[in-house]
Amino acid sequence: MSNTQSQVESDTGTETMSDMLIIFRKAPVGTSWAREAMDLALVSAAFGQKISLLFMGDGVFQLAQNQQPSAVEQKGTQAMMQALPMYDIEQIYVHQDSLDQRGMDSDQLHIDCQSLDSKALPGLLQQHKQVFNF
Amino acid sequence: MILHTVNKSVFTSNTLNECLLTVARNDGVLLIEDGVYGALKTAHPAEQHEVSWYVLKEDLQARGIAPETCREGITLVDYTGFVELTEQYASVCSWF
Amino acid sequence: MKYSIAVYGGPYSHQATHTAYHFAQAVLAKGHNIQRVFFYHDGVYNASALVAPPQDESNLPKQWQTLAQDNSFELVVCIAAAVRRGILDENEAKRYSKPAANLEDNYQLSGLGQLVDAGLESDRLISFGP
Repeated sequence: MSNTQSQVESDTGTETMSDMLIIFRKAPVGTSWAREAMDLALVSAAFGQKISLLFMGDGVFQLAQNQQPSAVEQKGTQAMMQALPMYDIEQIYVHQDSLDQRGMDSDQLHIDCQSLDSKALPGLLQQHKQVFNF
Repeated sequence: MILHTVNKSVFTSNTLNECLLTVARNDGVLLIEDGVYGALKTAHPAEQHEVSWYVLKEDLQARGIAPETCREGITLVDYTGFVELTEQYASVCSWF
Repeated sequence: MKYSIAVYGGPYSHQATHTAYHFAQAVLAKGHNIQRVFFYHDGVYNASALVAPPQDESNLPKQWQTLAQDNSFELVVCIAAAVRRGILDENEAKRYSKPAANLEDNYQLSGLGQLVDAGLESDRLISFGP
């Protein structure tokens, strides 16, 4: 399930670009970025855009299981992440080194992600017409 | 070809190094705001890639950073130059 | 070319909106058009009619307003981000039974879809964050 990829395969060939990549780099809960980034992902998908998500840096903490943001009266992004398939957002990537540095296991994330190694990151960005970074 | 903008100091933040993980050859990296400290000779970004480096002149000036203290190979641009970079590169990815 | 700009930082606390403004001026000076400036996250604070900086400091809400009017582009503020942060137009002030509205003239509250639309319709979309 979590074979780390060195290259991102695009389903229709190397010439095709996907519409939008959203990069999640901030830890959850401490700031509103995780929620605001996820809101943009869902709205963009509702607009018919083909969206990919990349979690890297502290953004991988957004994927941790068993988060209970209600303990500090915050809303998390757990429910939104579970809704991603309903919005046809299926290209969800996580940077393996970011997970490793933080002691996280790619098999124990809140949602299924495709693990990418660092070599695959430049190609991922190049494949998208617009990259949002939060 | 993507133009990346980075606005955090490399001395306190991992932002520039995270950006550099994602840059492809022929991308550009423009340092702005507190990111201009990444242009100093004493700043050592994680990996030197075959990218073009730029730094916003007005932000250097605002912070009292003399151009001679910047690394070789970094091109100083002003706001007009910033716009010209956005014309040249296909899209802009902002790191903050 | 047609540009749109996304601003995620408020006036005073961070340089983001100042950089965005200088960038916008340079875009226009080069003969390009601006379609829309979209305010999200703390950028919604740029739309406050109550900002009162000292005489010798910038007034970004007013500066954006003037630049937009003079160059026919839209100033759009994410409604969800705005109401959470206390930036309300007359409708929202009424809806939430607030004592006053404070959205500066010529700014409009709208959905996040306007940011998506800006990315699709403009040749370049550049974001400035805190």
